[in-house]
Amino acid sequence: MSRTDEERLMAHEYDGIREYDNPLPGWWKGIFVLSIVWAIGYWLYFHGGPGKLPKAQFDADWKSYTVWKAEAEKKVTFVASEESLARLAADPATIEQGKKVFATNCVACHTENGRGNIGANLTDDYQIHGTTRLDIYNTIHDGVPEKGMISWGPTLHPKDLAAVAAYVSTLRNTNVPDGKAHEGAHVDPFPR
Amino acid sequence: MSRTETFRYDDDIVRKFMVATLVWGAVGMLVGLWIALQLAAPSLNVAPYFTFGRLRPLHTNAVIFAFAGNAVFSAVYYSSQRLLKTRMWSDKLGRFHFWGWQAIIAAAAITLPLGLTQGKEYAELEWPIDLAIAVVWVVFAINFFATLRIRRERHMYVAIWFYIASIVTVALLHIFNNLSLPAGAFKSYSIYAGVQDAFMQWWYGHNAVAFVLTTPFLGLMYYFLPKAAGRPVFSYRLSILHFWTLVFLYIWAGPHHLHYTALPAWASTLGMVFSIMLWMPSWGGMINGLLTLRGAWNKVAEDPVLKFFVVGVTFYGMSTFEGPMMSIRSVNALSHYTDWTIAHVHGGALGWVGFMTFGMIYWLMPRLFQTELYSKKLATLHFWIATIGIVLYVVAMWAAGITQGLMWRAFDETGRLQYPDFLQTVNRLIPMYWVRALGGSLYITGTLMCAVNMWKTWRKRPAQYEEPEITAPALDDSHEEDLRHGAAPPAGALARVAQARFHRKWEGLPRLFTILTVVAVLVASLFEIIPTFVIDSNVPTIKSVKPYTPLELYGRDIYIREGCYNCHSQMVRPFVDEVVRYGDYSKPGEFVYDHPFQWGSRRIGPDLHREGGRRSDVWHVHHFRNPRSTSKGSIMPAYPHFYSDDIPWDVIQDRVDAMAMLGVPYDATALHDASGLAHAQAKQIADAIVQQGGPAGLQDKEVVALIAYLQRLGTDIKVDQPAEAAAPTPTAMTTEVK
Repeated sequence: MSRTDEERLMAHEYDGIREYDNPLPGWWKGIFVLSIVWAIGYWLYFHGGPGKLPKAQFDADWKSYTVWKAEAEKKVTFVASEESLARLAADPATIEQGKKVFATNCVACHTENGRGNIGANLTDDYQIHGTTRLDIYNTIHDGVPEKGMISWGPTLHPKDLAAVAAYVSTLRNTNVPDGKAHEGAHVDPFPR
Repeated sequence: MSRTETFRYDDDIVRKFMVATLVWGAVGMLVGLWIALQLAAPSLNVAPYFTFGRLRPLHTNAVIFAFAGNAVFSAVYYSSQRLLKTRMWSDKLGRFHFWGWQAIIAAAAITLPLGLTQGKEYAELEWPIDLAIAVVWVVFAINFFATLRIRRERHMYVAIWFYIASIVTVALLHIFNNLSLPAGAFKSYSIYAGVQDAFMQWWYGHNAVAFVLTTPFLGLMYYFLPKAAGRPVFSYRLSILHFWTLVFLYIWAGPHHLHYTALPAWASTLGMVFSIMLWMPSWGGMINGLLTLRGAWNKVAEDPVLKFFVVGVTFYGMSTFEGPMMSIRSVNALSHYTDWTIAHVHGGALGWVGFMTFGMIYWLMPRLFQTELYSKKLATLHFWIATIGIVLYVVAMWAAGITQGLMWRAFDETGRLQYPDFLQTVNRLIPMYWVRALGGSLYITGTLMCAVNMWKTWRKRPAQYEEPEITAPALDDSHEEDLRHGAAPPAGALARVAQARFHRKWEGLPRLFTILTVVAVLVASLFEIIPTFVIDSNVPTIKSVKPYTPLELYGRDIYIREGCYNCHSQMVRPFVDEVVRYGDYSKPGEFVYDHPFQWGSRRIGPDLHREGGRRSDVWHVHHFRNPRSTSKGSIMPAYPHFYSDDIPWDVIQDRVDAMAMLGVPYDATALHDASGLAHAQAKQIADAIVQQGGPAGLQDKEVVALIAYLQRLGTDIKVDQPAEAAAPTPTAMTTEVK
């Protein structure tokens, strides 16, 4: 037996505001009770139950990530050698790609044409770390943390890393103007 | 029959608060637009005073405490007098409250751009201003509760319940989150550190949303909406149930701001489940608002006041659904630190708080200025233009948030991050930042229209405001009214409970009612606060974590002063993508000397917790001078004053001493010659910068202190490890934890 609104109007009044004595909407009560039941269930599942809390979940995720990454790495890793890098350095498409990677990631420290600023001058015939193309590749790959050179191996795609190493190797001895002072040891130009 | 008394309402105080609401609202929103544009066009940063990091706190504080605050006071002063049938207890205290509050806002507007800040969100104001807030708030509370005592209405209406809850809870939150040790006239350190400070901050931060932006506005709604609609409130019983559940449950939910951080998991889970349970209590308010309009929908079509209320309440419903959803850990994993949060708060702030305020202002204007509203058309236009503004704003920020969240976690087929350069994920958002700025501009245009309307209406006011005499019977003790028309009290205790008869009794007893509210709030708080502070295993000690050196400490003060935490988090979450991007996830024990914590809540720039040692000192030298020189497309402000301003060597000892008083274990040298230690370290860094090819002569400049701090960040746990373990591979499982 439902009453009319008028019958549900309560006797009191505040500055002209009246109130109905309507019952709580059923769906409202239902969802409220469910949310409480769910809250208890969630707690029991995660604290004492089988649920994985963030740190346990991370450990599991990290494990599967490392397995997946090792597999993925096998498929795409570029096998860097003096020969393979020399081959890439002679390939115009690769050099074009390397230039792009350089423009995105390297210009901040080595400037747009490689004359050096925070980073070393890449266009003179001096090299700080080693002498070969493979040394350039490794320097980029592993970085030189104590000097601020970022290790790009974990971030750059292997193809991009190889391309940019090949590109940088082509800069040697181009001696662009206003280059940063020589650093490291004198090296011979790469054979063209 | 009791005697009849006559009195007048004090509407002058309401006029004052209403005008202040609109003035500060416009200021706060314009600062908001400015910082929104700074993200799209970083050249709009004007160092040192008007950078994003210093202006964003000004925006949030102005909108929360000046705009919403004054709106709440307008509502309380107008409606309480009428609902309690009495003039406010003291006109003088009311004026003190008004001018005191405006002075506090003015002080905020001056000190925040000066970089005087406690470094905790929405609690930035330094200790002298905090004390002033406490005093003014207590004066307000005294005036309010004294007014309850002299009321002529036996029972308190639901709006008053919400006002009571707001007044007592805000006082508690403000006092306990702001406990700090002064280290100078406008410098202090939170007495809490790291995990505990984070907990207290978000207990406060979340409940500032609850008890400044929600409960008083529900009170506002319960008075002004039925008045404007001319309809009875939908359900008294719903009012009771949603009031108590809201007040009790809200307090627990704070830790949902700290999911996946170094906060212990039990607290995070509590914060989440209570947020979910909070959904229906919040919707109780929405239902009572919307269903009160049954039979009045035809009025909505013509009345701008009701239009604002309908959309305001709808946004309340939307935000209080979105909030619990975002508190679910797996959703939060995506949404947190992104613009999704910004979308969420603006749905609530622009939609709920803003529209309820504007609805109230348009309803009050003719009544307070005692003349017709200058232009109903302009008010309606305000409504439409602001509504479009909110939609543009919120949709743009949703898109930005989800875009960035997905970009952060994307991997390529080689297992590398798809977007390793954080800037890639920032630059993708710039178009959405322009749309957001457009939406915000529309909203502000509406606010300015309201200002024009108010100015013009005010110009038409009568030469002398009428103060009609009100008559009402004095309260007597012989009073037990029947609940319902013609209905006898139901038989049986259960039926009485179901009809909330006990509650009717409470409504006549303000003191009991207030005590019960405080108990509800305190019990809920202490259940979380006590374990957070007393359980040692919450923060396992890491032996290698040492206090900051005096120079690093001062560098940290610069970090706080510049508001770096507004864009940079210091909290690597235990996610594969974050560990790959930043390094090992953050441990609770790493923050034990962080007074205050600086975990942040939004990553407009990258996380900095593992910044130490990532880049050379000289990189930072170039970067702070012009971030675009090292990071193409960066939207970070330049900080030229780091190179011109000298480190104030004489304050460093005070800072170290203050930290020592808080229990940070500094050794004898630091306690006697902090400045000497700082000088030596500064020299070392300045020399390193020169050696790396950077400029000479920086050893006295602030930039060196900040670099010292950044290079220290997150490095302590690497100290005890062999060199190869310090490589970027995560050391989660190998960290020595005692």
